[in-house]
Amino acid sequence: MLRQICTTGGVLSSTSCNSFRILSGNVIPRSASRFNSLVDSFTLKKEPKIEVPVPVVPEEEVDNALITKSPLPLITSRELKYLPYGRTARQAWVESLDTLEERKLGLVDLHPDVFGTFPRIELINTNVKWQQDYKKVNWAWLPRRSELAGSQRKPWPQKGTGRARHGHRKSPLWYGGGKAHGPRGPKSLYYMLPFDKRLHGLCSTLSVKLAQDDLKIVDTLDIPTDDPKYLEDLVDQRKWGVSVLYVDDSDIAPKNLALATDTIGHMNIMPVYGLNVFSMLKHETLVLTLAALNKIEDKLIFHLNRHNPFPPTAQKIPYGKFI
Amino acid sequence: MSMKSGSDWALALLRTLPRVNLGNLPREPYPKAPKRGHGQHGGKLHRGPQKGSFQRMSYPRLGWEPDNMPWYVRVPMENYYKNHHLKRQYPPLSLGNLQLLIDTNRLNVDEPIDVTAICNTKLFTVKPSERHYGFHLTADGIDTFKAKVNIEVQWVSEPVIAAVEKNGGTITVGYYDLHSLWAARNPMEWFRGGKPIPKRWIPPEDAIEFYTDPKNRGYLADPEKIAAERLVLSQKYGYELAKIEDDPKRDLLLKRKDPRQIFYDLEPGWVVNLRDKCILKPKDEALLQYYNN
Amino acid sequence: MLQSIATKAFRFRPVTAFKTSTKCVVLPGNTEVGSLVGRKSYSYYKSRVEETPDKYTGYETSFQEWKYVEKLIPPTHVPEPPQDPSTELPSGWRLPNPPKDCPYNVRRTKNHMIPAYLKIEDRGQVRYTYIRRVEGNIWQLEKDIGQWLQDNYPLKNIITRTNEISRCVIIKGDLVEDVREWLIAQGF
Repeated sequence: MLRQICTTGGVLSSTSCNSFRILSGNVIPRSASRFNSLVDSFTLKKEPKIEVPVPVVPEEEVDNALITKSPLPLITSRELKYLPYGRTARQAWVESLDTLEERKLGLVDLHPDVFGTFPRIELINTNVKWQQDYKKVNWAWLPRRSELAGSQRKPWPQKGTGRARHGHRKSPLWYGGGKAHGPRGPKSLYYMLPFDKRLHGLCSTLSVKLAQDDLKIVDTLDIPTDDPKYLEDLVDQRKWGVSVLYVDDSDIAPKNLALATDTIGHMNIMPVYGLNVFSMLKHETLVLTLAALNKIEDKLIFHLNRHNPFPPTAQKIPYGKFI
Repeated sequence: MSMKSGSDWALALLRTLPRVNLGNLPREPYPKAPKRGHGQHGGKLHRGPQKGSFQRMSYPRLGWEPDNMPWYVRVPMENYYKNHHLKRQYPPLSLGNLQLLIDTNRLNVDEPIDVTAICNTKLFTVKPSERHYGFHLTADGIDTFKAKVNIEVQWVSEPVIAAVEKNGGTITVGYYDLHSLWAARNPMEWFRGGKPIPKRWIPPEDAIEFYTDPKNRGYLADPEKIAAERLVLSQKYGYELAKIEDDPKRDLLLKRKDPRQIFYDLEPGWVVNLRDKCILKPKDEALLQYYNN
Repeated sequence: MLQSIATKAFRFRPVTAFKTSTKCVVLPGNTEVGSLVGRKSYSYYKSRVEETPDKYTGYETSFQEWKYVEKLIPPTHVPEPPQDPSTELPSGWRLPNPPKDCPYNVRRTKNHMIPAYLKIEDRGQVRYTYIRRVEGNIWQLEKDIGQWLQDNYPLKNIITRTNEISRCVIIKGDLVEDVREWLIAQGF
């Protein structure tokens, strides 16, 4: 069934290629931006995908092909493993990025344990807090009395001066003296969130995104041009908000999308293994490909139903006092 | 089914609410650890007086009686826990739990059940680091035990033997030393380390009587005496002893390990190569002599 | 300055070689094979490179016994339980078959067990029975099970409450076995 969707997507892209040619315009050269490194990681390290030239089909033939092949929208079903009793699968439309206006290619079933769990918002917050905190280092440092430069002499005699007795100018009692229990940085704020909290945090965030119509599913991330204006128009027309996160299965993003999102700061690309709670909430809309959806669901369902518990030794990432 | 789950209600409510983002997440829900108060809400003095030994919490030690010999010096020592940390521990596995494992397809009755099979359910395990020497099959749930199994455990009582043999099964009580139990509880981890399968040692002096006793179905006992004891036990508890010789599962029920063996059909001294899916057998005479004796 | 850094770097460089020992263990970087530079002699298994291949004893490779190793590999997922709801198993385990028009549901755990637990608080003074994984109308379940327990224990004051966020029903007292029995009888 999934293959059918992909094939219909291919058919659609070939039909509407004429209009894309008009929209595309000039290719904007890659400029240095703060997301250059992101694009580099996807495009420059390995060879980009070679684009297969789309054959231009005359309009009459296209219409015939559409009629003879499957009509749209195509209702699809997926086999969901470990489906709980009494829960029906949640559903979402499959869209395509080929055209500016929204076109529905079909419906997919989503697992209720991943995309329809109880939205544990406080668990989402715990995940976000962990993601922000674990990489921080507290650099605050104040000297002790022994670490200050200065005289070790007794400032005045013990008796006879009429003043308070003092033995040291660097004592914590003195102005400019050492700090008795001050911060002793650098101190790592690293900690590891328990595995189950990370797992259910991801499931909750995906459920919230789907419930609020912020989760979009597309067949592929192929767009007809590398013009950033095309992406912005597409997002405007479909009312996807400002910021969009595109998630795909593979490390290498399609060339057109990588070039188009290069100059747009609020649209980013991410592979499946980089998907996290913070980034999902940072962007208003989350766009998953069908391949990414399969992989995410497989992994989360495996961990929700695995035979042996998550090994506790793997949670203990070795770290020292100073990272 | 038209039932709506609680999560459906919650997700339907979320549709009417603003988008969940980094700005509107709730605060940390878990309560903070309470701070120590007292004395203008600071913990300077430990709720006690301002001076003296009680301020510094230097209390007299427990049992201290002024001008008297403390009672724990007067009373002679009991030594209740003397050498307790050296004793062999046998974590329990009840017959009811064994039946539940079999019913929910966690254990396969068509294969002999031993400590490796039980640990592979990931619900029960032994910890050799805490001096666990294997499983103790207890009589809890003895009335509902109906499975016909060939099981090997490390400690057992008489009614449990009767319950297993009444259903036509067989039971063996075998000793595992701690070193071989490390291999038996998680064989994949052992093989992954490239270590040879160790050989089982014979029981220590104080346990050899238990494991050679045919009444306990010890693995070092004479098989003919065990057959006689099976008959005796059936007459004592009043059930008809099933004939293993005529049983279709005869090969399964009579399958036993060598006293030096840890895994069925795998011999000590062999190294399992998990990557090439093969087994490396030693040829050196000194090694063969060590592992076969 | 540079010299001080160099001396510091020398002082704090990682230790590469340990004391010599009777065991013949050679570092991987050492060119002279067989020299008595010991490494981790306290553990035989942790020592890395030992000797040249000609000093090892012989072995033979066999593929026939691999099928016996496969029996020792644990499964990755939890095994599927028997799928026929009508069979009565000796342990009392039953496949969940909840009633059609029930407004609530209690899901089994991933190990196919009833999620009723005992929680002991206050050093054993207070005992609570928790029913977790409740879906649907949680207050109806609280009402039903409270009524059933009250009928069973007329002299006891059954106190129940719900936690809607974590979706569990909490009953005061150690009533786990009763609750489990009731839930199985209802078909959950």
